[in-house]
Amino acid sequence: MRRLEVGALVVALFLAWYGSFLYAPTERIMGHLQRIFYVHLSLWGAALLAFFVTFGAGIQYLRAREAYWDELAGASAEIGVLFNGLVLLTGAVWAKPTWGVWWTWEPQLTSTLLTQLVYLGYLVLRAVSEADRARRFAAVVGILAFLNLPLVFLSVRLLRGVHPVVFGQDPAGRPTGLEPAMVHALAMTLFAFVLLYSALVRLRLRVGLLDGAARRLRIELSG
Amino acid sequence: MDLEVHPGEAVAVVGPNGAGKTTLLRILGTLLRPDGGRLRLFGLDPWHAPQAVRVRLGMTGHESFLYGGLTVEENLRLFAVLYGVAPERMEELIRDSGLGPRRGEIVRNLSRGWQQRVSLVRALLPRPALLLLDEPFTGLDAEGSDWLRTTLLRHLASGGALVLTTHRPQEVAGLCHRILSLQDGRLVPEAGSSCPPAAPALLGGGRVPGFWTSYRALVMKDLRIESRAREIVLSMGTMALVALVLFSVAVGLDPTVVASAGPGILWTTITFTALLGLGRAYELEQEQRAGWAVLAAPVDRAAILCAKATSTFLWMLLVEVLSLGVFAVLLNVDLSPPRMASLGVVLLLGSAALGLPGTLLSVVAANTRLRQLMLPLLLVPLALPLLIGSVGATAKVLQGLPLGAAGPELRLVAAFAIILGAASLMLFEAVVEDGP
Repeated sequence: MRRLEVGALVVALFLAWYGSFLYAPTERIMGHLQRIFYVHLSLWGAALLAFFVTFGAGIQYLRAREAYWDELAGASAEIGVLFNGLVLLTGAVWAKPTWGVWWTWEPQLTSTLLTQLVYLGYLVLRAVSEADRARRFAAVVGILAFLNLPLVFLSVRLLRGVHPVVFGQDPAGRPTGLEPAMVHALAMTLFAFVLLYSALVRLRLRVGLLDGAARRLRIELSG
Repeated sequence: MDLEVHPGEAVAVVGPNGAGKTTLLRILGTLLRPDGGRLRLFGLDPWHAPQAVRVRLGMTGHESFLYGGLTVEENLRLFAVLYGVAPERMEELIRDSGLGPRRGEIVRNLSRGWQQRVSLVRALLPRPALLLLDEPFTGLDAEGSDWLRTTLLRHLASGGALVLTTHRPQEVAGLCHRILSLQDGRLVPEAGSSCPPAAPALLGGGRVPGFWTSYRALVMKDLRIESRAREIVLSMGTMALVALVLFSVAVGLDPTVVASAGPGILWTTITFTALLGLGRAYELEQEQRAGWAVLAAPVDRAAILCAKATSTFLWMLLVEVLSLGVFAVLLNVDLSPPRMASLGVVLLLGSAALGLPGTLLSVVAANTRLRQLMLPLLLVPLALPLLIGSVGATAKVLQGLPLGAAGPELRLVAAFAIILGAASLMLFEAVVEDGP
């Protein structure tokens, strides 16, 4: 990464911290605890972006058959699983004092967990496939996994929920929403995490490509 | 590597084990996509016009490429349909090859030499313009070798081309015009080559079969094998029983808990048995690599995937029908006819939705180092929305609600079936492009 990019990332992360801890007002009922929501939701957004990149790179790999796209898909899925795992973790930290339990079988939680399982399967597949087939198989499963996400969200809606609805209507039909300052804080955090995602994915992609090059060199030297 | 084969010409490729002879044949047989280079068969790019190329190819491999559980005649009849070949052509070949007395025998019970002969007849069915034979003389007795030599000479005389691999060049003396040695990925001319005869018109007695024709033939093939072996349904049925008891024990055998967990228990059981059936259905194609022959035939990939999904779906339905009575008794469920009908719709839809993605992923899983152990890791998380929908719909039906009350759940199951089914059809080619 170039120095400029590192600088931009540091600034964005600082703004995210500032926005969610100092700039945004304290929530009336939940108090400071609510501030975890900025990180929580942003991580979730970045994780979805990561899985979308895995999907798109998978399609592109099947069309162009260039190792680059496969490495990108794999790198993005890894970061996606990491972020999605952090979504579950930050959610649990918030849930314990609010709901009294670390975990409850509630739609959003369940769908995040199901998503995590699907992509863990994807990562295992990448680890156990033979070199040449691995790329095609990973692309296929990465595409199916992403197409499945809307169905995951739909399916868990059939279960009853207690998750706070941030955008939309509360059970009484009143529109719920955020203070403008809260929206600003959320936007800053989301931006920072998308930037963080892109930095991490590029680092991981470079490691993957170098790894592939090293493997090719080793084969050339030994054969 | 540079190779050009003309009509009426026979080329032998020799080389030590592991030199890549079989890989070369698989590339020529459109079973393997080359990493680079240019391949034209009959002037066509096999990846752009695969069926037009495959219908003019005949191929045998190291394994027999036959279904061990079918008879000689059933195998040949299946491939005659897949190559759009008239039954008379099949009869003619059975007569010439001396297979007549053995046409009703199960292929698995035949000796290696006879299997080899059936395999060669299968490859000759469409009067292929290019015949690709991997070690064709191995395993044949003197009479079989004579028959093969005569058949191949007739094939060449009528303008067919031939590429074969062999360990022993002396075997093909007088048959092949050129003998090439495969060394370090390059073809080196070995013996003094004679010129092939002037080329007559290209052969080709096959036609690309329609979707439904090949689909029906492939489903019937699975039904026939299973009706004889009865191993898939038997193992799935036993598994269903074991799973039903296991989950009832797991929830503590408390009648009220068992009843409320009933829909979940039913669908977990179905998932387990489906995984078993999918794994076995794939192994059937791997035995003697019969699945390769199907992929090398000019058959729509969608027909292959749909046929396999259909037979798995049929096994699931059969097992569900068989275990529903046990389920009702063990879980104390009231199954009156109207409820039975509603439950039938839910089972039908839920099981059908699992077919296409399940079959696709079983091929993916079986080609990893973990083999079928990988299938649950891939399929179960992906199928959870389907299971949530099916369990929800089943619960409503068992509560005595009309089917309409389960509308949202059924719509979810249908959406799963359509979205993942369509994606599976589109992605199947990418999965099998280097063989099953």
